[in-house]
Amino acid sequence: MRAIARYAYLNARVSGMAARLLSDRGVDELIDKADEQDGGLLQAAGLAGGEPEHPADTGLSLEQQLIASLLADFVILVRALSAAPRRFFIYWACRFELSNLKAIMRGKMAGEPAAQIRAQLVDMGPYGRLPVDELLGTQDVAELLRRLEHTPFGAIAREARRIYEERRELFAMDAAVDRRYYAGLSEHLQSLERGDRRQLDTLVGDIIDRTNLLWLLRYRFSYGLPPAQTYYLLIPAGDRLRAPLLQRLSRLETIEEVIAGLPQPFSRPLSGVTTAADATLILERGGWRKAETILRSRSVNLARVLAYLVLREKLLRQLRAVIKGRRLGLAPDLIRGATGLIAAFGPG
Amino acid sequence: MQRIAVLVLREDAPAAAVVLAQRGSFNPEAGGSPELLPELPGKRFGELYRAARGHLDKILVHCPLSADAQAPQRALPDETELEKVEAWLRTVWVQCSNCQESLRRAEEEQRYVAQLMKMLDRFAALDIDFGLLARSRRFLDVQVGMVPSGNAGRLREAVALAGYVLALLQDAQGLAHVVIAGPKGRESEVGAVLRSADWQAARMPAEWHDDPQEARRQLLKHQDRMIAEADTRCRQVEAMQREFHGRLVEATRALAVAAPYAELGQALRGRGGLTQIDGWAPVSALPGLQRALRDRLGQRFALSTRDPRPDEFARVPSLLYHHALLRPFSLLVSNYGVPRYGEIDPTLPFAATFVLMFGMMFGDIGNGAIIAAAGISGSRRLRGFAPFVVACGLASVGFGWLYGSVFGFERLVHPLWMSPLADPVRMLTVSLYCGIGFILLVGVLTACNRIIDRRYLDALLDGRGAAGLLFYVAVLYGVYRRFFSGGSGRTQWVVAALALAVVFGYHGYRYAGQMGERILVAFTQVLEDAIGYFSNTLSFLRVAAFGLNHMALAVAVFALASMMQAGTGHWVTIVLGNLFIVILEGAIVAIQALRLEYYEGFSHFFGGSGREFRPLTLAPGAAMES
Repeated sequence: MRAIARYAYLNARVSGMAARLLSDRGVDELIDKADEQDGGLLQAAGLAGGEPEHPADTGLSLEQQLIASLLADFVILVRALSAAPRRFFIYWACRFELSNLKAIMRGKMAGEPAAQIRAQLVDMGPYGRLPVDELLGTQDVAELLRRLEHTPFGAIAREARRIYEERRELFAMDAAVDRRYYAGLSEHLQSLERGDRRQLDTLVGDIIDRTNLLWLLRYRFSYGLPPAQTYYLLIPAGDRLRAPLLQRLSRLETIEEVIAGLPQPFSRPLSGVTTAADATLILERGGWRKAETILRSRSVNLARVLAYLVLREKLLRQLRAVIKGRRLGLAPDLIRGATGLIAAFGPG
Repeated sequence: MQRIAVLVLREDAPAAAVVLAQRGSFNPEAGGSPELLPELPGKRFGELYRAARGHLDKILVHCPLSADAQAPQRALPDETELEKVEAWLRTVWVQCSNCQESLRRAEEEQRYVAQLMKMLDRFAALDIDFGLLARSRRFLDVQVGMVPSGNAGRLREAVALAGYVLALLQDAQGLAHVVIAGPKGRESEVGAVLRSADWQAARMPAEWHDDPQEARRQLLKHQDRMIAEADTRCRQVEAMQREFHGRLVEATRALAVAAPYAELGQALRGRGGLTQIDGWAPVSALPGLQRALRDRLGQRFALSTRDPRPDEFARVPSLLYHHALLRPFSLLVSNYGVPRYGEIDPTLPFAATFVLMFGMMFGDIGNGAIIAAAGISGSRRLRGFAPFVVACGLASVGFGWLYGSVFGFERLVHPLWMSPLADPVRMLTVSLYCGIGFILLVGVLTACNRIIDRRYLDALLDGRGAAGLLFYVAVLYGVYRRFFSGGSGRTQWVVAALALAVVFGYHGYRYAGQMGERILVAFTQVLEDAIGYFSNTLSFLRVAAFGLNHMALAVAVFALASMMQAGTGHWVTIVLGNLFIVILEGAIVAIQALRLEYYEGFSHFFGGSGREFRPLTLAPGAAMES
């Protein structure tokens, strides 16, 4: 009853926004709309011009326009939250800023020009905490990391420096950033009141479980890392895949053994998978299904907000794939594969 | 404000940019059609300038120059010269950056040595032979080192997968000192985990192992070496500063002259031998601009001007002139936002209402005089804010006369009106009327601004437009008749209900969504508007509350003073009490007045989404040779 009273408005806004989310079938139909321009596709997907206060901004790149529309919804939802839940969701939105940070670090290590790196960045607007201009104006990676140390990302900078000086492994730096992010997400979750955590911990735990499982498969069988290092690089949180199970799985020698050792709901969908790449889409789809279930449920809680944001991000990724695929003149089936729709409906 | 385009020959464009910058009344903005004018003649120059400026700014942090470094005239550098300047500055910055990096390493090494010393202390306390731990063994691999505290737990679990155990020796300042041990043969696997865990091995030469005292001496020596190295680096930076001073001054001057042309960016477009500079300039500045361009370029330019189009209103920069006395208030307004082009500048009503509210909340002749005197005597320290402080002080003096209060003494001066504590209800009623007046003023300003923005429907039908205002006035009138004039009647309530229905319908019409969602959003917004009017009005009760509070504080000071012996103690208490009131309560009252202005006023009528007029300028003292 208390949650209903607290989150009635939020719940109504989420329901209203969720009604505008395009289903997989809707995305599938967009692929076949051959004459539609990018703007028209966004309009059809309800991502442009829907809210009078957030009109479609034609001055933004496609990527920025998509993220801006997600952030516009995010702002509306976050406004209705009290302090601790707001902190949790603002932390969730950090993921976009961290992708900017990774792009800058990668670009600087590869010696890319500042303009080229800037083109890959997402404009975070008022939520941006990275001094992007200052970082892009640095002469080399050492200077970049020195400047980064004086920002809220100082801890990441110190870890990245160690990796850069010892190994210069891009994947290790990305992994370190992602691990910190998810561990932080779990910590922010724990700081919520018990009532606010209802179902949210299941959804966050599920997201972390799927990420951990994917990383475990990649580290062990794509990169060939030893069990101890693989386990260390996993996120120290989760719902069903707890530390003892992850330790046991890290020791196994084949993907088949790992899948056989998994509990439900992971083992059945992954049965027959032989590579980490094949597992990626299946795990992602499983996560989206979980989010859809929570979003469709009648309960009134914060988990529905996160579920909506997760599904909105999924839609953005699908639309990006559709628009880019069409720009490159790819065949519809290839675009369907990139958006994960073939797995949903089967080929053809 | 006028949209202007200056058409010049390509070779004259840099000189034209400098002339425009010298006038200080031209705000560049892209405007030329990319189809008609496809080239960006200043693109390369701009890129070189920005790169050079970036290096120079970073170098100047280490090697500051004197203020007159930019004074003498010099010729505008061409692209080749700018390239050379950029390349040289880059080289210098690389050297500076290397120095910085060395300093950072030296500092890190110092921290590391400090941690090692702590670890040695720990070993000494435990009476453990460090040599035994570090010595190589046939079947056992032992490693000593440090990891960030947060990583230790996870590392313990991870190394266990390789058959190792981890023992924590000490956990201090975010670093965990640990020993790990396990069977030989899996060092590479464990090494990979340690690297991932940000492991720092304790680097202890073999000869130190058996003698902790010797180890300590060596570490101290090592630390001294690090400090000496850092000193050397600092001296290198100083030497660099002396060595490069002349060239840095020259580069600074070159960049100062190059800045106007480089900063035109997309505002400079061209085709073949012609270039066009686009931007904004105030009408009053146009004759001066025309004259300056003619003096410099003769007849080799064409200046065209036009009024801003309605679709450009959002982008037109706002140029605001304020009298020196109003400037501190305009700074507080710009702290909230810049008025859009055409939007009513709220500086004057803000200044008037702020000063009045401050005076009403802090009315005391003596305390106000102290504030005014502080504003006058500290004008240099307060910079432009002196008029603000003086105005608040004088308002306080004025209300002090009305209240008849001098440093809290209420019998020295006869009140022109009344003491707040004499009739608190009357005081509260007056502040409520002030609030109603303020909100009505804000409502009218909101409607005017929307009409200026051509948002006619918003001005008429929105909750903060005419319909909302009608609802507010009708309810106030109804309340007044019901409780104060003893009258009755339904007309005002019908008007209020109709106005609310209009607002509800308009919110529903404006929101794009499903019917249920529309109704919910419209209902919520109408509720917010309606409650907002009355909660905002009640907010103004704080004006009276602080006026009463001021008097109550003075009473408290006198009560404390009366507990002291008559004489020094009594007067010291009164002086200190009044100082406390002036400093602490004065600050609180100023914040409350500002809060009322921003929250109850600006947030409703003032968009603040305008763009400040940013003219192209030359660096102070910089000038270009003809």
